Amino acid sequence: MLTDVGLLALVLAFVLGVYATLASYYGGRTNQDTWVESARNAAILTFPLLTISVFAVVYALYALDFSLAYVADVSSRAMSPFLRVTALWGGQQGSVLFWAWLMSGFVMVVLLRKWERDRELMPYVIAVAMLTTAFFIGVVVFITNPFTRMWHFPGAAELTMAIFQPAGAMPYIPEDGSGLNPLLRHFGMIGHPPTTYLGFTGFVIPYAFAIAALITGKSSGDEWIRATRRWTLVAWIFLSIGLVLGGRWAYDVLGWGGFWGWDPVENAMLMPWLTGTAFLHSVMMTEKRGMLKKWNMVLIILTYSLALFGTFITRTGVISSVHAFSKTALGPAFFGFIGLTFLGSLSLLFARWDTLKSDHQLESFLSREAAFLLQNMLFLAITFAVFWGTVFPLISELVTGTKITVGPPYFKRVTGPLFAALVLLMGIAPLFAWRKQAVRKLGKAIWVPFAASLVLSGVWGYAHRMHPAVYPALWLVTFVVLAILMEFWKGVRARIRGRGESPWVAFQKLIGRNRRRYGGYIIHLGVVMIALGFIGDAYLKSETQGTLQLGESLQIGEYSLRFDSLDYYPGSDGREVLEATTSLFKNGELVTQLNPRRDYFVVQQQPVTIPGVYSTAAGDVYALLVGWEEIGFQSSTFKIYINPLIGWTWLGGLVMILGTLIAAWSPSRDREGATYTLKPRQASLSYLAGD
Amino acid sequence: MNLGAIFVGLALVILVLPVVFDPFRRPSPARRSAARTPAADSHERALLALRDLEFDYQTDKITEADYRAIRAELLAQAARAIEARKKEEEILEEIIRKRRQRKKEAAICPQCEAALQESDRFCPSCGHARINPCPACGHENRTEDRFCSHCGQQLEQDGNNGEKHAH
Amino acid sequence: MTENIHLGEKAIDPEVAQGEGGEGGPRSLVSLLAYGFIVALLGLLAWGLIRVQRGPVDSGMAPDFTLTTFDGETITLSELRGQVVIINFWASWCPPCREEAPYLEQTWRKYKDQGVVFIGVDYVDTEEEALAYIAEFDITYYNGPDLGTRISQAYNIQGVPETYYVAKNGELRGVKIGPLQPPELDNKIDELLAEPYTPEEPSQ
Repeated sequence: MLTDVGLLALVLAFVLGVYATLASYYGGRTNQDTWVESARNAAILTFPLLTISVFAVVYALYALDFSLAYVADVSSRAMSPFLRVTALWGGQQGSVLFWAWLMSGFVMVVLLRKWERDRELMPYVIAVAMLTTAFFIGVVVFITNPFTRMWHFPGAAELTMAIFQPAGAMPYIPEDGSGLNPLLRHFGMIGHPPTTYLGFTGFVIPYAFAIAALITGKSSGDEWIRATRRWTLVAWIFLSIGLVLGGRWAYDVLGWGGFWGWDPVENAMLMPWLTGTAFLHSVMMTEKRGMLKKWNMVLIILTYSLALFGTFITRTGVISSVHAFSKTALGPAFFGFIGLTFLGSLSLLFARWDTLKSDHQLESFLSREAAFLLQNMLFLAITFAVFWGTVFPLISELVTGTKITVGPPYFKRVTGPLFAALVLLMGIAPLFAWRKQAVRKLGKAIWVPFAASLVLSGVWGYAHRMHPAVYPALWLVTFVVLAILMEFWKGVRARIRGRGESPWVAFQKLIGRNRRRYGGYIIHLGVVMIALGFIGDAYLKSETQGTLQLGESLQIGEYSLRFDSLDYYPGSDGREVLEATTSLFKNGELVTQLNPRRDYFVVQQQPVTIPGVYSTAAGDVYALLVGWEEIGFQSSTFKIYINPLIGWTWLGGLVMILGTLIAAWSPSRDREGATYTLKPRQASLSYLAGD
Repeated sequence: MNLGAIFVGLALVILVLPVVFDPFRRPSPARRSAARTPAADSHERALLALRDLEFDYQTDKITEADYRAIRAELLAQAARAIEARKKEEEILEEIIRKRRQRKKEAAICPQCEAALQESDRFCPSCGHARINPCPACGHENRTEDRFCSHCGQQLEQDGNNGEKHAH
Repeated sequence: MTENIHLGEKAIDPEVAQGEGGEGGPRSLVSLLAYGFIVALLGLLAWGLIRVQRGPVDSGMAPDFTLTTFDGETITLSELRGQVVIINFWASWCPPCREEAPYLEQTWRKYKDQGVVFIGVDYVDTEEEALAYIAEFDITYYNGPDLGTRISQAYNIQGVPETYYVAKNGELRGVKIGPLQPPELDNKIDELLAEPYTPEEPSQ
């Protein structure tokens, strides 16, 4: 019965979604608040209804209700309860429902807040946000419905899929389900899809506000930006976490020692992140100086469109990749919606183009404004390069008939320098003042971190005997870190001098009063850490492979791995485990025991390699079991990677979260007594004569 | 789909519908928009820019001369913004005043000049009709309309306009 | 009906010089290009969608081809009737291919005298890097470049690595998308070897 209720709630949510879209639009056009209020209530109610549906599906997965085709597909008796719940997003039907649920959640929270100030925008915000939500709910109801059951017509060779019982058919309930793809049965499954989806769906909010601003003609103001600033930050951090977790998961489970493969689906996530990050920075320009308005509009429309595009190519398999969702009839529906979004947004943008004139002009190339502009251009260039590489196989196949796959070398070569330029900009831009940076002052500010970083990176590289090609990358990282730390230092010093505070108090107050700025700097530090991990991955990896008899060791660098034993036993989840016990030595000293293993899932005939990893700040030792003797277990083949600095990638992700929390927690600027009010002396203008 | 589920489904619908249609039952009064105006934006931007300027100066990024020049400019901008906000206030006040005026004018009987309510269809003092029902479709038109605004039927003019009602 | 009282057009923005005219949209060339780009992209996606209905070829007769190996030999699929053929698509720049390479070679050595042929098809690669890859993993079975990607197209591969299983009578018995891991390949070969074969017209 719960599943039936879930289905009914789902359908009701769809009806409400459509109603909210139409009513809010009508209320906005005829300037009638009652219709808008009604639409708002309908939109808010969508979330609790979808929660009922989601709960129904999750319970069915947990309780192993195999009458539902979806449950039989992704759940099984062998799976732990924890995994059964995560199976909600393990297949197409559940994951689209999950997506719709998250989106309606975002919309609900936005609408529950006071929206008096954005009264004129609200009708269209609701209309756009609910149009999207209703679309996704509609896809769940009509195309990939998790409440579909399996039926058997007597004498038929195949099963029929339908929600309601067809006349003359009998219900078919299998004994057990197939279960999740073993690659998905990993801790990363709890983290990566939810955060990624939260990131994607969260961007519908700023997008809806932007479109509402365009429709109402209020696009020349920054009202829409102000209202959505925090939402953009929230969506962005979730997308960032999703990317890092995806990389971590790939690292743990795919067994090739890396975490980013430039796979089309990975790129699909990266592109909205790139434009989203540019957007996040670019809106600051509009808030402060009324500039870059056109850029902002273009960037948010791009971010949202790329998110839709990303989910389209992931779910339909139009561009082939390692991430394989099963292909369903989603394609045409998504295609229609994407077409509508792209063309609709573009025509609105062009219709209101002249409202987006900048209020001020660029005064100097040596200014923070110029830095923001450059940042936008760099991000856009990288996005375009990634986009080109991702769709090129499709284009080449259409035009020439042969599918030319674009591999990592292209991406690394093209985007590498651009990313390096961005990291450099990240370090230098805080040193610039608004409007006009005095050259001499800049020189004075830069030379200390510049010189110090040259020395430090030189020593660091030399001490580890690194290849000369790595030195520039090391210098870049050191320079940026020092530049950011200097900003902290200068700020603290100014407070100590100006207000006589003690260093610790000055530090706290500095961050507390300028949370956006310093939160942002902390995020930048996190980004540099991630960059460090990438440098290690690109330049400093080493690997080796060898077959060992019991007791023999394999040497790599300072480490050696000794093969102790090989065990075979049945594991949880219907898998058979082949586990090697090895001892890791560094310079002759025993460090730890590693257990690389190979799990084989019998039902799906799917093997999964799980590495044994030893992590330190300096890097990871990553051991894989790649071959063994079938009988006797006397010898085995191991592959060992040394991945220096990779831990910094994960740490950088955590630091980014910390920075975002600080930046997002800033007080609302509208409250009285917010920290930016000037001292009375400066605000009372009539007394400033002769200043 | 068993009976219990249908029952619950209906319960959901019954719960949802009142919430969705509630706004139609109690119309909210006209409100002054709390939306920010460009002048307010400009004011705030000037204040923020001043704050940033102070910061840049204290962290030694700009010269004294630039500092003074930009500061003067920003203060002037803030002054202009305050002026503009004052003007906006005046304009809004004017709009509200005119609207109240119109409402007042609409609520006097043209025949006996008694005070009326907006919703009165007949004057309670003299019986003057403020509405003219259409003989064809019954739609309530205003007394001065010559054709029904709903069905287009030509309307009778009672000839009562401006005269005392002959009762 | 409720009404909002707001300034609308009477709002004054002190920062913007009053009385400036609008441009009426970006220059028509820019907007034309933008629309053109979007329409072209949509067209591309539509075409891709239609194409996706055809999946990878994994049943029926295995498409025939002739491959010239890096050593200069030529090998034609249809001449290998009576033997089990494993066709593996790979590339030197493909990380998952590297993962399965040792296992492939190991399995080849195990089955080479039992009537099994391994063919490695190198996809969109350079000879130098391909040869380095072959040397690194000490691969001894047939390997050659897929010139003009004819073979990959014939098998409609979606990416690398992909491994196609061809039975003794020349029929495709399935495909593995992604890197092979033990004991998948051994099991499959055992299964195919167990099939009886008589040198006559293959059924269906």
